[in-house]
Amino acid sequence: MHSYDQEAHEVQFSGRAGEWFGIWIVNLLLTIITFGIYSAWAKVRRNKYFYGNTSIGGRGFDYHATGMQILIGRIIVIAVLIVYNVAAAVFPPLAFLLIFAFVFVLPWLLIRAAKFSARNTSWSNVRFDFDGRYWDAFITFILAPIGVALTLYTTLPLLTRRMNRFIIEGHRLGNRSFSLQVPAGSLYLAFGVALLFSLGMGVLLAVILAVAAGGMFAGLATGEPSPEAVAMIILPIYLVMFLVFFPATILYRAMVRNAVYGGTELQGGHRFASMVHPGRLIWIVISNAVIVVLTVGLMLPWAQIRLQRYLAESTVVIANGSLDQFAGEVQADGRAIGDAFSDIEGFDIGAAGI
Amino acid sequence: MLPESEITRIAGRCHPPDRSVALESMLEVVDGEARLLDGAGALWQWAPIAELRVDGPLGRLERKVIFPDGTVFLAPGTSDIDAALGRDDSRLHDWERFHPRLIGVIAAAILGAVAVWRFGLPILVAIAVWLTPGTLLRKMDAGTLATIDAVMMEPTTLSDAQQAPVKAIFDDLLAVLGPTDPRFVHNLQFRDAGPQLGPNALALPGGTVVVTDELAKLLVDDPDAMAGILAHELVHVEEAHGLTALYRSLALYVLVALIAGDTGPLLEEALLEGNVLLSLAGSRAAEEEADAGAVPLTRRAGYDPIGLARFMEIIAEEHGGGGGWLSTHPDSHDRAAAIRALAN
Repeated sequence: MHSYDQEAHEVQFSGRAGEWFGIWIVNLLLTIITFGIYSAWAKVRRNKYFYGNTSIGGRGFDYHATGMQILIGRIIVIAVLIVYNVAAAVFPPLAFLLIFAFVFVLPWLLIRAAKFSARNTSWSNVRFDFDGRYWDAFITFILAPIGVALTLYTTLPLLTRRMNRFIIEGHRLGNRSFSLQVPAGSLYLAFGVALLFSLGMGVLLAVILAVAAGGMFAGLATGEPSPEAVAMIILPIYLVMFLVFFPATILYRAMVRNAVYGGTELQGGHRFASMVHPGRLIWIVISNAVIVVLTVGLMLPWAQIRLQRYLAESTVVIANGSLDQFAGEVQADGRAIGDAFSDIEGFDIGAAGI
Repeated sequence: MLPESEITRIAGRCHPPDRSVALESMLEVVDGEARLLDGAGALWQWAPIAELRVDGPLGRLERKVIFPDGTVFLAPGTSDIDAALGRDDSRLHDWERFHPRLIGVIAAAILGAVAVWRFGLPILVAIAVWLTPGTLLRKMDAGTLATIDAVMMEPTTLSDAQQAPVKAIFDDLLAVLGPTDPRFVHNLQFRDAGPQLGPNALALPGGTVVVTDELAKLLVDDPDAMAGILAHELVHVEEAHGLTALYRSLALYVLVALIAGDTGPLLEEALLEGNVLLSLAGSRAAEEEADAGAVPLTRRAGYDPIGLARFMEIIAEEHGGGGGWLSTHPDSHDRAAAIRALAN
């Protein structure tokens, strides 16, 4: 007699840089010669490739949206953006009103975007779904961030938890829901480590810059600010951004990912684990960025595969029983406006869902 | 003897509709019909080939055949499912193969990107500028003026007698400018900008030129310099520099978002920062163009184009040269030198 039969499945990623490079460059060429129209189909191909090559227990993910759905969404979003910009140029106070109105539309768009990606994603032939309440999204993504700013970001880990809970508990695989139980302490630990890292790097950077700037202030005192002196004022801002702020963000996200995956459960006793090493992730992200810039973007596919492989290899699913037991119904979802908006505005809340 | 129909079999797995369970199975294609057999070889279901949905090949991924009821058959990526089903949609897949031909695709993509950058974008922006109706331009001017009045400028304190000579120079320039785009409504405005903005002038897309009180007072004895500055602003209007910059930054933003796709963390920030630096470079180029256009315009109106160079030198002395890759305007010393070179 056994009450449960747990088996750990490592998440496998079988994408190859050479193969993805071919798909990526053809995507790029077709996007260029169609003046961006093909980018919608390129997105489908990209997602199909990455999802299809990610598997758990030999069963892959799949992406089901069509290029046409995504294209229509993008056209609508771009049209709205143009109308907004023209309106703002003609009558600036209107821009304020529209931004105010937008604050109320944003939660709806976020939910739509998450729903679209979830419903168009499947694992082992079972679709995901997403459901989130409007006011919950409004509080999580509009009001709570304001509150966090008022507490001088000391409550940021609580916001992180709230956002992750909104995203994860809103998702379903077939007819099973996800739940998240993560102690605030583990998120505060991530926050503390990221803060310590920022302080350490900040002090180090300040010392280096002070030494380097020693000669500059002599030049400043004589009157005319040289272009070098102007650069000395701007450069530290970039250095702080790229050497302190962004790495600290990655560090925080890596530790949060580990905590959140560890606290996630799929109905039926299926659990997850993430073992991302923050230092390793920072190294991968920074060396990726340097290599991509040095190769004028041609190594981007390699960099994407490298990051994806690392994240997949660091993730484990502990299934409670057979992977054959899942089922669900396909929910049609044709509206891609939220999805297109998130592509163009560059935010993505669905990423933590899988 | 009966003709033997050709049978093709492909081994794979199948999922019942919306179920995660994966079962060993076999796809058998006979006479335009696809049959799904279970592990023991028993017939499970069948459908005419025309009713199947088949995803095209992508990398080495499993091939997916979907039956009308939603049953999914997965064939290994290496199997020849297209031949079995009499289909051919592998053209894209062939092009994507890691093959020497890809070098040609890379070259074409780079060429295409350069062409979009050099020709496509400017043409698109020019069309947008050309399509912008005059009423919109006038509304933009009115809106911008109302905004700067509210946040950074006060009504002018200059008397009519102080404004008159500047207006006269403005009219002289307009007279030699000749017939221009009817969408532009040239008009001169005076504003008290306070000590922060100091002696300055700006052009709005619809043809409004704003001169600060401080500038008018500074150049009260130097009509040549005032003519040079007004000519510079008029060239901004004629060449639609403001509108071009607006459309260009919008188009670039959308292009980066769509073409680059998700570049991943860090790179996205780097791309956006690069975009800002590029728009500053574009702004400096527009200033140089306006300086160059101002020289002949000033001369035709009967003023000395050296006046603008003289003004640049005064500015450089009082406020430093400025310039460099983080500025909207080029170095004032360089501008003065370029204007002197053009004027001689």
